[in-house]
Amino acid sequence: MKNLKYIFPIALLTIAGLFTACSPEDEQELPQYSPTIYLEDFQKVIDGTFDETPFTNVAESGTKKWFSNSYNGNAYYEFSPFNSNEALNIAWFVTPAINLDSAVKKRLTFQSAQHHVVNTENNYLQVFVSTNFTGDVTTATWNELTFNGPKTGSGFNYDFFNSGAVDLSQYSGNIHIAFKATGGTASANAGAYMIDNIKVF
Amino acid sequence: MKKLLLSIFLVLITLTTWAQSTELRGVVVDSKSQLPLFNVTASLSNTNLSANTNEQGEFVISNLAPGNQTLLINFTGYLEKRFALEITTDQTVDLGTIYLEEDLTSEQQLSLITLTEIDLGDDNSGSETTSGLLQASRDAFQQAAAFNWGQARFRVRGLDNEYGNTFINGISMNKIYDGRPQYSNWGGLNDATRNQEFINGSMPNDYTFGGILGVQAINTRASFIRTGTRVSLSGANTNYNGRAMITHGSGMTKNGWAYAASASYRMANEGFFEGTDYDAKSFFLAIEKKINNNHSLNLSAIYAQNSRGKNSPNTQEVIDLMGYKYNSYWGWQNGKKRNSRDKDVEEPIFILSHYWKISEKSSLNTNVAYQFGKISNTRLEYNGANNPDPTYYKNLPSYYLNYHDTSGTNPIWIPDYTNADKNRVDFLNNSQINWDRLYQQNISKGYAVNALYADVMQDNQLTANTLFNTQISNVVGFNAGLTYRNLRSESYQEMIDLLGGQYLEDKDLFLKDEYGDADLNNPDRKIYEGDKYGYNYIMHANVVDLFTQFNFNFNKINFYLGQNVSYTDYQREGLYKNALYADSSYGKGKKISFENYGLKGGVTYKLTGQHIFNFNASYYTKAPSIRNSYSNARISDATVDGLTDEKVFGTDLSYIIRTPKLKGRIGAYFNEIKDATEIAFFYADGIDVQMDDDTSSDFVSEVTRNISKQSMGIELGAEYQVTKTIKVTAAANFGQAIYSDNADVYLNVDSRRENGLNPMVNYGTSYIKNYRIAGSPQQAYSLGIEYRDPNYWWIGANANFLTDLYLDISPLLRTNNFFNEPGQGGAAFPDVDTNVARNLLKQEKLDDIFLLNVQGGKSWRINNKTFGFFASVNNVLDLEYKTGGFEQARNANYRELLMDHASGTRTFGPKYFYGYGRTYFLNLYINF
Repeated sequence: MKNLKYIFPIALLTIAGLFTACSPEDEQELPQYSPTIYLEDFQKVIDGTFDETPFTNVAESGTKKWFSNSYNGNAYYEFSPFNSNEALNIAWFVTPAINLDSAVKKRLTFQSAQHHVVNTENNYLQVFVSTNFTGDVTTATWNELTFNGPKTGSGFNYDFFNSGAVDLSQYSGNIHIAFKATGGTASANAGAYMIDNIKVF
Repeated sequence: MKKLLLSIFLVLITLTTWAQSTELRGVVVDSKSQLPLFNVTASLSNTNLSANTNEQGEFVISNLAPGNQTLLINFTGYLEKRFALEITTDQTVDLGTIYLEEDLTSEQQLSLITLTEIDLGDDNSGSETTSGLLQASRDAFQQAAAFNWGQARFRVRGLDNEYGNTFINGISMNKIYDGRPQYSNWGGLNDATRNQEFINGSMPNDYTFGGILGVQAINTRASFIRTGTRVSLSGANTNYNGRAMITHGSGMTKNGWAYAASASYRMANEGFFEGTDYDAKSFFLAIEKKINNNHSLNLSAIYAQNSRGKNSPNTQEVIDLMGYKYNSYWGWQNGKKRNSRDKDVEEPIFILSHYWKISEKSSLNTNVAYQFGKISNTRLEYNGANNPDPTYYKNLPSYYLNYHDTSGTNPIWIPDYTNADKNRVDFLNNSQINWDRLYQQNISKGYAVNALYADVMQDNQLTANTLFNTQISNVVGFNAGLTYRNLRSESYQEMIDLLGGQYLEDKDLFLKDEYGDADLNNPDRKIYEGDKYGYNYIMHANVVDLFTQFNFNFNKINFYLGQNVSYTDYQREGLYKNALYADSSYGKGKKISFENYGLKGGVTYKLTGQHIFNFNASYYTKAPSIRNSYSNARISDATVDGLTDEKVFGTDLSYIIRTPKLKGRIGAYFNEIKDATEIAFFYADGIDVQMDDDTSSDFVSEVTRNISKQSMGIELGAEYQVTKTIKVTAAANFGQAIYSDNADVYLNVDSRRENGLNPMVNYGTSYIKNYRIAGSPQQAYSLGIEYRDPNYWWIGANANFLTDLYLDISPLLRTNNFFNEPGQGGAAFPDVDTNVARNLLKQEKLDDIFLLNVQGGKSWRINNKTFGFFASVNNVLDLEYKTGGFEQARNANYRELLMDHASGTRTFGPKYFYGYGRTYFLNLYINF
């Protein structure tokens, strides 16, 4: 009987101790999120501080390269074969190295738009990924990525479209993303492509 | 396993020692009226022997074991009496006449604010979630929980009342629809329902296997209703202002008939909160025929009609502008306050019972009950007009205070103070529903763009059960019960008032034309007042439940084992062919069924008659309720994806002390619920549900699956008789109720069907682990003192402190979607700061509550009549306090939440419920 007297106070103190020792609030988890490990929104183009050096901007065919542009406060990169006087224009725009190892989901998203594209047979945008790019687009191994491109037709001129999530989960280490646009001076092929908000997470 | 149980059982029987035949007898009478009291319980406190008095007030307890014993005499509404006895072998002890004194404080029961009739949520479920299992008990903890903490919506063990069982005459009153009782079904009949038995936690009872919260068993047998007439008149300023009640019981007459009748009326033009009118009429009738000593029949009929205007939960912005009594649901019409959210309950119950005393040791109670009627909740609809809600977010200052330019990559806060102030002035001038404008709009259009409709649930339920009870030997008692329930529940929308319009088109104008029809079998219908429209379906449900229970009683130790098996099935039958679900809305859907079982056991160890230890444990599976089984039963027979049984475990350990001066209980409990499913229904104003179009005004269901809940804590209740007249009581609940694991969430958005999309949008894991379960303060303390004068008056006061009360969290908000920038393929917002995120998702702790209550009463006996009054003032200090609230299920991502916090005044902030300020209750009564 005498011993029993102490059982309850001891049990209560133990439970009380448990309650106060570990407040459940300390162990709440945040929802998971994938921090963006690479983002290029080209906004520095607007005040002229954008530095193109880390990018590789080359014309594989013809002389037209990608160029910076802006409209209504939004900056982007554009490729336009219009008035090139060359039958075929192919230009590459390659990002600096992106280390995928810190990405959680390993996904790429970007936005693309077009204006005056009337056919996508000879006037199109492609996206590639390479793990061995060293500055020369012709010697690197490029794997093409599928994405949702801009809708064509005059009703969609200059409208940016989300690429959707482009899966990069099979890659690791340093990668480079390349935007390759193809067109020509002929009016049927002279449509322009624009890219913006390149994001890897 | 079965063999093992059987052999244990047999061993126990052989262990039984037959005690010598010793008898204890007495006659119990009312100390004032000298009339015999029927059905008084006499029990020996350190055995399980007990007996009830007959109509002459006599009781006999036989087979007593020799030794020191304490006899307890208990009767609802009277003070407990105890006798210390020394029993010797082969002797009859006759205690003669025992006078029971009426417990004046039991009048307090009548003042219990019917919190159970106040809504906690706005989920159209038609039921209440406050624990009502509070009223009957005599335990100091339960008294504090009911009378003192009930105002702050305290829930015993943090449990929802779907984990308890409420019975009337052995018939379960928990609705099959949501597992909760509808207290309004017998509201106002306090006199007729005052015979109540209360069983704490999973302890054994005669009616059911039971949940982990406890059992409240109301007995309305005619012969059990207090003989005589009682009339009472009350005034209050809570949910009602006035109450009149009359009850008469005949007692058992010489020719074997007993009858009892009661009627009450409660009303308020405006209750404590603005625009909350109240009108409730209740009638009760019971007739009992004692056929012979072994057979009795009783018929009880209860008709309680309850109509009241609800009050709105409000955001902090609205409370700061309008005060905590503000209610956005009403508006002036012809000089009267008209509430747009009326709740009407009208579901009469008839229970026919047969009581069969098979032998001295066995009895069989068979009941058949039929309940029918409807619950309806009115609401304003606007189809092609502006939202009539005065607190619509665009009407409030914060809409402009939190204004952002969202055209760039990151939103830029540009508060518009001019328009915010304009909104403030406009809102203050138009803070109630403008009925006249709604009428004008309808009249000018010719047809109704605004209308008042009701969500109606019309039930027909048949319940039959039989409860068997036998004492196999002195040691072994056995209970069994078989229950069958059949429900036909029709739910529909009914046009109540076209507000001056000619008709309403039964078409959802927010949907594309070909998807807007509520019923393709009846397209382009024009709706007139009284018509059913919108949705209409029947739920069929069958439940069969069998339980058995063995009780083993020894001198020092009692234990019990209980088990149950049940079968449940639901089937939806659509009466409309909804255009969104042309293939799955009309006709009978698939029948879904559940098989469940439960096991429980417990031990009581009586160290002495004054020191008792008690341990209980229970595990059972529970079928999901109808409400939580269908994604949106209104328009489709689709069931919740991956629907499973709930698993419930509960255990408690108590120490009970019963010395002449000190009575008390201290206990610890632990409960765990796993695999629970919960559905919340709401109108998603502007919620982003991963689709391109605007979903404003969509009816959306949020399904949360695999919910794990855990509650544990310590309960203490004690009363100490300082002197013959002064009693001190103390009660405490030191608990913690949390979600013990993460859950999964999906939204069901019917309008996605019009774009050919799956209505189910899966949000994956909701990180709710270690968040608190809302709905009740998790810590509560009470200290009270009572002076009871021998001259039939008493006065008491108690002080209460309640804390650890949390806001109900939105599971949707705590999914990975929170960080995802819409349309960015799962990319997080570029500006995420995890510390900021942690703050945004932090569960709000509501302010501590302090309540001071005083009460007192007096009674006189004049010419064989008892007159008396009871008065109480609750929350004497008139402190304002929040009793709960919930996060609005919208703005479900980091950026939008951040924007909502920009000005410090949130547009989509949580909505809060408030408790009553200072309230009074005065009751005058006469018994004759």
